[in-house]
Amino acid sequence: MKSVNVYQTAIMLFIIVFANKILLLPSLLYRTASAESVFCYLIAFTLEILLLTLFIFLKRKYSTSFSSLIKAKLGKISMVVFYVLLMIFFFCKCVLIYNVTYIFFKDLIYKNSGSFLFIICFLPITNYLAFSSFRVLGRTCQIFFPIILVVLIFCTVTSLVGVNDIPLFFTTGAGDVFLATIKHISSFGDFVFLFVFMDKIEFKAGDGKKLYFFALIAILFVLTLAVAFYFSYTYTSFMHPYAIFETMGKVKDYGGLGRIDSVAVVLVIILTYLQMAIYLKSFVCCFCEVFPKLNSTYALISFDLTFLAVVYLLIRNLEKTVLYAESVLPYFSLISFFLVPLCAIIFLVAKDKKEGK
Amino acid sequence: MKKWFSHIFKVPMLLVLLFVVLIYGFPALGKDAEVDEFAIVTAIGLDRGENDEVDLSLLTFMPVAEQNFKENYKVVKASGKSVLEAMDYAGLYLGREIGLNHVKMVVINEDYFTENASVEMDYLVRDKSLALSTSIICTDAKASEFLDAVQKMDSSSSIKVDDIITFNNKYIYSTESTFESFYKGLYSKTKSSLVSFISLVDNADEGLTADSSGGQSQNGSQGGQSSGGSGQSQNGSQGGQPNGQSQSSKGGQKEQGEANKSSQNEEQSQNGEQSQNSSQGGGGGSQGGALINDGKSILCKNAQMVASLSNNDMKNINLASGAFKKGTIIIENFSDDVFKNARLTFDIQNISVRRKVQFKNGQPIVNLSLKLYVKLLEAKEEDLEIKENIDIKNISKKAIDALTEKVKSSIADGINLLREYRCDILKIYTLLNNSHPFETKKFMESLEDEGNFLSSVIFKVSPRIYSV
Repeated sequence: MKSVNVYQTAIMLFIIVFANKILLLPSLLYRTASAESVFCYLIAFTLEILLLTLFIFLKRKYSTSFSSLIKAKLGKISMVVFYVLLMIFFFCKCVLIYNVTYIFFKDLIYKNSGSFLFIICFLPITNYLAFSSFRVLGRTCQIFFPIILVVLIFCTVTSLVGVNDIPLFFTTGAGDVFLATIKHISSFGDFVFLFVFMDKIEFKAGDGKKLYFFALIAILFVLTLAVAFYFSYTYTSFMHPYAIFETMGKVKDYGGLGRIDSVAVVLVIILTYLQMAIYLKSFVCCFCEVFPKLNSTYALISFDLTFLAVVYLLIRNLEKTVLYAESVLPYFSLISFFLVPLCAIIFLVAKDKKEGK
Repeated sequence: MKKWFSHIFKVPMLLVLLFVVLIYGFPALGKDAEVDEFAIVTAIGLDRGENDEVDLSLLTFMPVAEQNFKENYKVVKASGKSVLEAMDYAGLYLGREIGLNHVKMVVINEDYFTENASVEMDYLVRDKSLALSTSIICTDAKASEFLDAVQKMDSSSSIKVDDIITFNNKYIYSTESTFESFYKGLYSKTKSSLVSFISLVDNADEGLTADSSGGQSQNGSQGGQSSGGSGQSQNGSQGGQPNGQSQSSKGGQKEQGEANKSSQNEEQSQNGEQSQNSSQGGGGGSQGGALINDGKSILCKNAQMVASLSNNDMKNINLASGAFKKGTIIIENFSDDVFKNARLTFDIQNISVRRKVQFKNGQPIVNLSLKLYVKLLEAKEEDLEIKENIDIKNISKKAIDALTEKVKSSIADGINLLREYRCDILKIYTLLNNSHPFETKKFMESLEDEGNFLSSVIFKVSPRIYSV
């Protein structure tokens, strides 16, 4: 697998920050944490940045892959268990991001179209990107990055123009804020994909700053959009499930498509393709580590079959997707926010001890 | 061909494309157009029916592909035990699915607001096809008759009835009235919201009129089938008031409102029979009438009407909130060096309201600082002779003082009205809580009746008037 430079990695990081956070999440958070939902973002993003910091430290100290590290330090079985869990994590995230986008489009545009049409649109392209080398994915993200950035700036500015109200603050306590964060923690923890591709990222001294910069800029965009959303809709925020689409001023005033809200649709389409591709690529990478004798074709076939079964049988509407996101996925976030950091800390500390001796 | 196949198999994405074309391309060619499946609804009317049923009226048109595109509107009425059931019946009558994506207006009879309107509105909100920016109108007439009148509006005049209240929030005399604004108020701490009220009166001298004469009467006899409506006339006496809005002096208006109401009651009894005959899928009635959007609104608490507010009441409330862009302030019997017993009409060019809160001995004091930029545009007195159009441009200090007093008293009236009905439309609670959360909590706990907190809040109004 060909490697990618740190700029492409930073772009992928930038793209993955938006996964699940600018459509459904703001309204779901508001149900529990009201206007204090912004603090949920801050808490979860702080954890994400800590995860990124661990990755940068680990990358500086080790040039091998994360799987080799686990194998060397904790044994092969631990590595297999670990990577199986990561596989499940990336699979679940992919299902979630697909469903949210699918329901978004079905609700707003393609009311009478079936899931099959969307699967035909999304799966082949994401499969292709996952099947190709990591560099192809990195370059694809790089090509789309200027478009994403321009559309994001446009959406953010438009959203801010629509702000005309002040929500009621301090109605929820710290307990509600933490409860909302835990319930929706599965929408975060995306930086863990960096660990999977640790050995495929060309990393020089000082490159960490680029990663921090891109991650923080993306976080700033997400926070600005969330704040604009809460200030635009205040008490009815929970009734608006598609945040970025609905914060566009014209949508709020007049409703319907055919105006500037279609700009947000473009952004959602591009982001969904690339985010799904990143998750799928991570899944394929984990699969190949767990089953070293099988190649990526098997990984993709396994993914597609399971994906179709889950999408068709389990998740068909917004309510079920929300239930899935709130009750099933948070457990898998333990992988990104507990297991991976724990391993990274162990490896960093172990190395330090060795150096001390 | 062999080369072509080998190329196809080298690029798997082309196979996918081929697959998509085969699966979707050919069936799409033989599929009916969506416009053949749906009846496009542009307005919904809700009335309370007999036996606790919902009487639903839909202003609908069936898109027909012809050389000239024509919107053939029809009011379809159906009853059901719930809105959804009535909607299904309406679909059955029409032989098409009901498409709500183009609904711009929901007309609800005031009977619903005497109890709890949110129950009936709930279905419309849960069904995601209705945008939350859809306007809500409360009316004293039957919603079905209201839609009948809407149907008769002449589309050639370019005035769309859907738009009647779209610009309400721009004027000082009225308020925004959408599902969004309604639910924002309902879900706020004090559960208070405003809904625009539009009367439907017969033979009115003002308002947006649906005349039953002309081509429309023919349509009426055809069971309500109309071709783009007809016979809209706008009363010339409105003197350029937008969207048929008219503002009359407070007393006069009240009298007129009473008169309209009594005449309308008589009409309602006639219309009642008529609509019964034409219900269950029948077309609209043949009555004309005028829709009067004079800024009147209803004040709701917990989605239940607690008061009916006149445009003057709305003016007083809006002055305190600053939530408008256009409006006038009139001073009667004003005298100074230039004028003698004159009526001065000031156009509000701009307004900014800053609200600050401070607590003194546990009691909140809200400082409302207004900056009002006005222009004197009309002056009327018996002996006033205007030689040049700049004669009344300069406003004396006395006029500014009179205007300041007028604004102060108007705001005081507005606040007293909200105190009386215990409705926090001005979002004072949000202001208190956001600026002083702990003091606000203490203050609220100290009150015997939290719902009446506005009475314990001191307001200090300091308007600054600028002549532009």
